[in-house]
Amino acid sequence: MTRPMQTRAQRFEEFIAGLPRFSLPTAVAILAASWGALMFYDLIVGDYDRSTSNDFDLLRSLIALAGFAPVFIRLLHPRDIDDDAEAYATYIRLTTSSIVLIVVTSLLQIIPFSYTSDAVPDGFWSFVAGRAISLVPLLGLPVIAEAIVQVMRYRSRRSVSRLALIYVYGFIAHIMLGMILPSSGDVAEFHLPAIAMGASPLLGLIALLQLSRASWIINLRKRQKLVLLGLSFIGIPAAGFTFMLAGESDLAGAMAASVPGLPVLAHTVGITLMLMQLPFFIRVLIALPTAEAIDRRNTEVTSLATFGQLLTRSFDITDLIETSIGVACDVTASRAAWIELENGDSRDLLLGSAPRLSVADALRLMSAPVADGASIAESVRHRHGVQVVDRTEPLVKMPAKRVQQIKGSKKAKSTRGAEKKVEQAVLSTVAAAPLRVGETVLGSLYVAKERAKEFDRADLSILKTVADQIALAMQHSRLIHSSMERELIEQEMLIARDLQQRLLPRSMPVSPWYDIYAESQPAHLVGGDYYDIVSFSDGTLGIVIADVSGKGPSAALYMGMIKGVIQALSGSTETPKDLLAKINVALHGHIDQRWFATMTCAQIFEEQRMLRVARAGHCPSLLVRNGVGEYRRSKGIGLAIARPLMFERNLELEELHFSADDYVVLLSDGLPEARSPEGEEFGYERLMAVVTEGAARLPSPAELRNTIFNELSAFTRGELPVDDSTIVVLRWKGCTDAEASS
Amino acid sequence: MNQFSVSIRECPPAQVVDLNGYLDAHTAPQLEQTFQQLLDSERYKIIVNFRDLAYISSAGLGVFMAFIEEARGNNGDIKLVGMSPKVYNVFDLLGFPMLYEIFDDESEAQQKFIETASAGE
Repeated sequence: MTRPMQTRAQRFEEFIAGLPRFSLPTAVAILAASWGALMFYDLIVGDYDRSTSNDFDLLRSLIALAGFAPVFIRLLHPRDIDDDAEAYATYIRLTTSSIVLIVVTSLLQIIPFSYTSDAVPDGFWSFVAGRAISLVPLLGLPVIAEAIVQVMRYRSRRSVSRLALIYVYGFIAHIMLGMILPSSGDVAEFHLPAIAMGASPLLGLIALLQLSRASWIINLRKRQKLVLLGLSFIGIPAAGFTFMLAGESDLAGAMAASVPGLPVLAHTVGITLMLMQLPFFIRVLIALPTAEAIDRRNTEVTSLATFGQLLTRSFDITDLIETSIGVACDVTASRAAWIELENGDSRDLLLGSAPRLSVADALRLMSAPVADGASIAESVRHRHGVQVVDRTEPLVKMPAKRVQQIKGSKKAKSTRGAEKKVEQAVLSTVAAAPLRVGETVLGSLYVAKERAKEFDRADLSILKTVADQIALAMQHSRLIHSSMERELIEQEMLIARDLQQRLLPRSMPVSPWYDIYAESQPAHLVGGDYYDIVSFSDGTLGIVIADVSGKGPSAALYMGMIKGVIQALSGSTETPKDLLAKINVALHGHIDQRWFATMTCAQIFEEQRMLRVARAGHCPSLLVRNGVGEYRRSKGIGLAIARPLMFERNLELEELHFSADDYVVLLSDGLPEARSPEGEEFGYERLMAVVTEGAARLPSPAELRNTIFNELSAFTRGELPVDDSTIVVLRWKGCTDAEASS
Repeated sequence: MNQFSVSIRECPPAQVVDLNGYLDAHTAPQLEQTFQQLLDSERYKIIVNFRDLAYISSAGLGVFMAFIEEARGNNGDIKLVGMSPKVYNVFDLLGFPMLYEIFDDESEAQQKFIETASAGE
């Protein structure tokens, strides 16, 4: 049973929503048009001076009904009020318009006119005057009615909102009845049927029930409450007069004659208003003593809300502290607020950009002793709780100038007024809360008030809340900063990596005599390993592999430098030994003493299948000749370690001869020193075994590289490399390959 | 984090620096500080004992290079003793034996300092 009823109600709602919704001026204009139409009808068709009542004239009622239709639709489908401020504004509009309506109508009644109790005018002029005067309530009342409905609906619960709907239906039915049923100017004579009469108080009662829940009044500001109080006070008699519009015989008669239903409208609106204004007045009156406290709580809530938003947005610590100081002042209704920040060993005092007291005053307040004699500053730092110092004698007297700034900022009245307040502008009580996240104390938040004993329990608990929020926000901001810095560094590292990759040769030489493959894998984003192809003065090519001491960006920097030195020198040197000696001259004594590099350089004589190799402290080269593996480790000191003479004297130049399908593997120590999760090193022996075994299948250099790295990753099982791994693989081609190509 | 510690003891005419644990980029500054301390107090005859050193990285090697010149310039030296084969191999690969005096035993190094001192007189 309920279900179809509900759907019917829904259908009706949809129907209402589907009706054309006129704007209020249009709706009122249409109403005025029906007024005009009725006047025309009465003058031309209805024969006004018939001196008979125009009751039961169905056509008149229909014209009026059409005039009222847009107003009804608006009432059934009112625009809802969004917030307290709008409710307040609507209420003000409602009351003022009822007052204005009454005043204007009262003034207009000075014009003499006369209507009989049957709404029949005395003569032409009384007809015109009556119709003209009735135009005022006709245009004013719908506005008031709509405002009533809006206020009634605002913030009402669902069940109560139904009441509002009943009110509207009743209201509309009431007016419609008033149009059709015989009307009279004199309500006291009970010419209106009992149903129409009885409905008015009933509707007013519904409105009263509805408004008894007008809780939004409590949240208004004190000033607004005072306005409401005054308005509702004047509003009560105004509502009474509105009610009496329907009873005032002359005017009521004219109203009934001009648009049927109009007296009923005045009647219902008036009684609703009366029933509304009185409890409103009482409610506001009751809310007034707590207004100040509620104002403060509202400020607190707003401040905390803004603050909460700031927390999630602000990365700027200065901004944050500025706002924090403002919020702390607002929520505790304090005269001044400031923050002491712990910065390692030092402490910073932050008073905000518009400080309300001097640093000296702040320090004086902070040294105020708590119960056991320690200063409040010490006490809040070490006890981690909120501390208060109350003094009957002033702790700090604020200078007159500052007092003016504060007091005069809003209403810059006479300086005399400000000077008078100097006496009061002393700070007698100070409270402090630690800015703490977990066990870390970031600083302390201070607030000070003029009079002693002014910090109540609520103040202190809210001070603690604000302090906690500030601490969190500061922590948040610091974290964001450090992560932003980290990201910046990472980006720079990526750029460095990119640059470093470009330092490596883009392509390897192609020769009929040998194939070559090279690769470098940095352990970090950037590494210290390096390989290159150089050409000597006689046009022969050489392979260079180097490892710069240290890891990461600094190693990469030196690597870049070495690349420059090599490229500058190689063209004017004949042998790898010359090259290394010259590099050592360039580096030794010109860079950080702790820094060094190791390098192996192999000059390729392709047709002789020979390499001339010099090794400057670099890890040994691995050769596979006739299927037999071997490490070669000629004499040589690392670069930038020894003086030039010493270096050159100890540097050996080796000539290594090969045949077809022999392999040369130059490497960096990251390969043999790679570790398994258990900490075992891959080692030179294992590396040689892998290479020798792999070379037996005569792979291409790239294939051999794959074999090595596969074995290596099987050994390390995902353990992250500590050092960069670089490998250069050279394979001597068979005679037939070489001769066929050449 | 790998552990590293360094201590100094008297071994006339030299000072012995005992190394223990892992000497890498993170721990090298500790050793650097020790050397600096010795040189600042004009003790230029230094023996570094590697007996308890488990690992040395390239950054660790760099520390010795930073102070050898100053020590030698003041009639002193940095002599290295008691290296494990693995640690020795690292020094050897880099050619350090050509630049530093490396002994198996602390007393040999001490003896060498005494001899040099008397030869100098």
